[in-house]
Amino acid sequence: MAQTVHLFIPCFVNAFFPTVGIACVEILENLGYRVVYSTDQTCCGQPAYNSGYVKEARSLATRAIQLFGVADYIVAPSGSCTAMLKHYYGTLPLTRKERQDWDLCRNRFYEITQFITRVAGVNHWKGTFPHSVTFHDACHALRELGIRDEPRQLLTRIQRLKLIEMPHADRCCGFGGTFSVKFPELSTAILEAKIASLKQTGAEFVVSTDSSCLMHIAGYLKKHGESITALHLVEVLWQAWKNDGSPPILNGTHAP
Amino acid sequence: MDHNPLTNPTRNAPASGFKQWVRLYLQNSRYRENIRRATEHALEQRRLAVDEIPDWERLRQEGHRRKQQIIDHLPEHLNQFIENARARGIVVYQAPDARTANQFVEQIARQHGVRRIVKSKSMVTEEIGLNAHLQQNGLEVVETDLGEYIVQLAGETPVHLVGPALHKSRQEIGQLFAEKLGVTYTEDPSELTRLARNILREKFLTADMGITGANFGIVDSGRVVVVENEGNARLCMTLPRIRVVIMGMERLIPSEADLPLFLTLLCRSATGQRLTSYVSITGGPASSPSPEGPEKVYYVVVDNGRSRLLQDPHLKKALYCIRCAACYNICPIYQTIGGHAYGWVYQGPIGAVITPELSGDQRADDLPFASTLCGACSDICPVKIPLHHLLLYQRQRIVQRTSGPHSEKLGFALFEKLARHSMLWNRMIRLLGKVQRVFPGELPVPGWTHSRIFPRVEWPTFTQWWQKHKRKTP
Amino acid sequence: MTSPTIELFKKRFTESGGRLFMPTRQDVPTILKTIQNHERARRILIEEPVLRIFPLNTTPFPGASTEILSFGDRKHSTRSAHLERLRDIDMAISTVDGLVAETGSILMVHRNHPGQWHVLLPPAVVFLASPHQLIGDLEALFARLSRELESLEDGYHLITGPSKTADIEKQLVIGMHGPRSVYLLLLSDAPSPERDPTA
Ligand code: SF4
Repeated sequence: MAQTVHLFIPCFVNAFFPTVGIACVEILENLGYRVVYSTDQTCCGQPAYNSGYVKEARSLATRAIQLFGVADYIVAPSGSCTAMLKHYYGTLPLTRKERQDWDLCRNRFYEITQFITRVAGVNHWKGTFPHSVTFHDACHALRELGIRDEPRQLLTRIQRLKLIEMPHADRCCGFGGTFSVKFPELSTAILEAKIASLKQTGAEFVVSTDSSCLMHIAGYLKKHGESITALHLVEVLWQAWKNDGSPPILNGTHAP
Repeated sequence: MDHNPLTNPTRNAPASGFKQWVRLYLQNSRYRENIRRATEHALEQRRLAVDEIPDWERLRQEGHRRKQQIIDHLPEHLNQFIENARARGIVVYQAPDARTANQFVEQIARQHGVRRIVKSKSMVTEEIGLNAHLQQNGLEVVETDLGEYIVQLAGETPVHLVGPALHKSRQEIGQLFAEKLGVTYTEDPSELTRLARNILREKFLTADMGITGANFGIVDSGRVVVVENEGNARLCMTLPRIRVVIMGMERLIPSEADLPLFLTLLCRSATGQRLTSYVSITGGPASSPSPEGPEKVYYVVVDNGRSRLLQDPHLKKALYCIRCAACYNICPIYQTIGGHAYGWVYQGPIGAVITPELSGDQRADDLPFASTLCGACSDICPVKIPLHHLLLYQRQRIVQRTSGPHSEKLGFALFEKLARHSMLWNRMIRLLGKVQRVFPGELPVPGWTHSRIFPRVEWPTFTQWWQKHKRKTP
Repeated sequence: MTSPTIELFKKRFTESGGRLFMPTRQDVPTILKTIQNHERARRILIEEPVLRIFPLNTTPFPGASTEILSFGDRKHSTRSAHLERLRDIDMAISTVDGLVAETGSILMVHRNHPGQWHVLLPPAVVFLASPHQLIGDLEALFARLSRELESLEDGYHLITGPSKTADIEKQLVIGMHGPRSVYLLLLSDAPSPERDPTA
């Protein structure tokens, strides 16, 4: 029987970037997983947590944990939310019962790139994407979860995709959640350094694993009439399949 | 605006608030350009030096562990350090706060009939406002580190832990020298350096007292270690009759056997050198009579709020800091606004963590929020201080301790209520989508839309798409 | 002392900005004269222990005055007289107490060189050392020192290259407060210095 993946969709992806979620469903199902999702899901509580509001964060964390059920894996298209679920929930003042519930979940949390490469064992993405692409390392994916090579591995195997590394791809884009509106000018000034380095590459697309960084980067690009388009990694992966006709059957080493 | 009048956290913090300072400094493109160039240069130097060490990660781990041993039992180690120093004939004074530290140094100066004091770079003396105190009491204090000398001439404060004047271009320094020293304008760094050397050499030769900081205090020998490149600290500690060492009480390492580790971590992280030009490991006055070296040596060990950090199980980790400034250099905030925009002596990620406790001043409460929590600081820190976790922790403490911005408290309370009920939550999303569509032009989002387009709610949302296509729930 | 250690020391010492020669005793006078010439040194100070390794007083420097700094001088002169004597020296010649290959550093122990004004004040310093004074790395150095710590009451000091600063636009300028020229003559056939605490 197929293994089950519970999809966790970041709240703003749900509202603003639903195609990222849809791409996740398509990819996971084509990899042979049964995908489930709770329409009761809202927000993991990270905005409150990162702003210092522990009580509110705790309330949303305990609520989120209740939604996950018994799926084999819980996968999110975001390093940031995954780090929140997997690491930071553990720092909240949970009751014993709540901590037990979280303990039952914590080893099942995966960011989707990690899930595709490490769990499904797919490192060789079959597909075509005839464009130049530059990759931005999202801070939480990179530093909280150690995701650096996996996305690049996936991208470089796609036919006709040209990956052009930007200088300092691993530097922060300046988003920082509520920081971006608390210190808007500062957030924008940091972003401008990131924009300058991604423009240096001349790539058509900027790709990342977190829609939050992309919302920030794309918001600036659009406002300033730049022609570079921001895409989530899963959107590129899915599009590469579609460009090849139908999704191929993938031979992941651990694919069920 | 090049000039920041802040000299001391307790006296001159930005009354108008940190955010105003940030806006001000963001507009200073020359200052920002200088900061960026200097931090990039320092990062590159560091990278080359660290790449030479294959087990750098293990060294960081080890540095963390040894500092933890010290900080977890700081009072005992401190007592032992002081005892060992006294056995070397050193007079040790423990200063609970800035005022008593300053008064003690002033007293030493009076007792020995000191008129001119030469001083090498020391952050703790900036923190306690020592120069201002001594000068108000009629003593001449000359900073002798070139960068410090430049900021002293300019009436400014250091912009960085390691490079106090790295915000200034050679032209600015040239003008400053011409104006303050009455020399012909030059912007040649070698020439400017030579000018400063000659002026300062005279000061060294006629100084009665030398003040230095300490990079490390060695518990089991009572010695202190000073790391530098110019030789000015060496001169400060050997030329004048009286030597004063001022150090934060957390500066300790267990023994001299720990020096290979800590010198490697510090020098490579700070300047990308294998070792700085001078590393001095010094004790008390010369045991056999000699005209070289001080007749009398004093240590002033400063608390000034460090005990408040020590009391907290998380924040005490900030006391592991060896002041290498790597976290400044890598921080996107510091790189963008530089040290002066912080308005405090300690800047960058570590400054944002410790300043609220050290100053006990509510005006420092903005600092921990001025971070993207990107974690680059924690990754680069040679003693593995979890800086971005401490910033988060400080945010929580500040929210709990203060009444906070009222609108924000209400905002998060409301956010929590909505997010607990998916029906309300989804209604809110629909409402936002509708408003975005009927609003003529772009719906303004405070703090966002001045520089970035705010995305529109897409129909169907992912949840709506799922309900239509899948209808599977766990 | 193995030659890889010497090679490493040579490399690191040179990288730190020092200038290294590996002469035989015979070559020393010529090299010193070349250095003196290059530095245009007119007042030269020789620290007494140097003479025990090499009889330099037989090597007069053309057009320069040479004086010997002895331990006795250090004991008996007053601070101001001593400073007066040292302040205008152009070049000093000194022994060392050890060399660290890993970092290209010179070890000076205060007991042997109290205060060490002579290696700080002049613009040029020439050190004489012999290969047996080489130590592999900082770990080995401090392991050795730790055995000697109690006899090193007044501390010790590592010098790595010339005095330098990068405080103006990160541009490296050599010779801030200390010497701008640091020379090392590593004598291949030198006898062991008598007072070498690290030997
Ligand atoms: S916190 Fe760490 S990186 Fe920052 S100055 Fe201190 S030791 Fe260096």
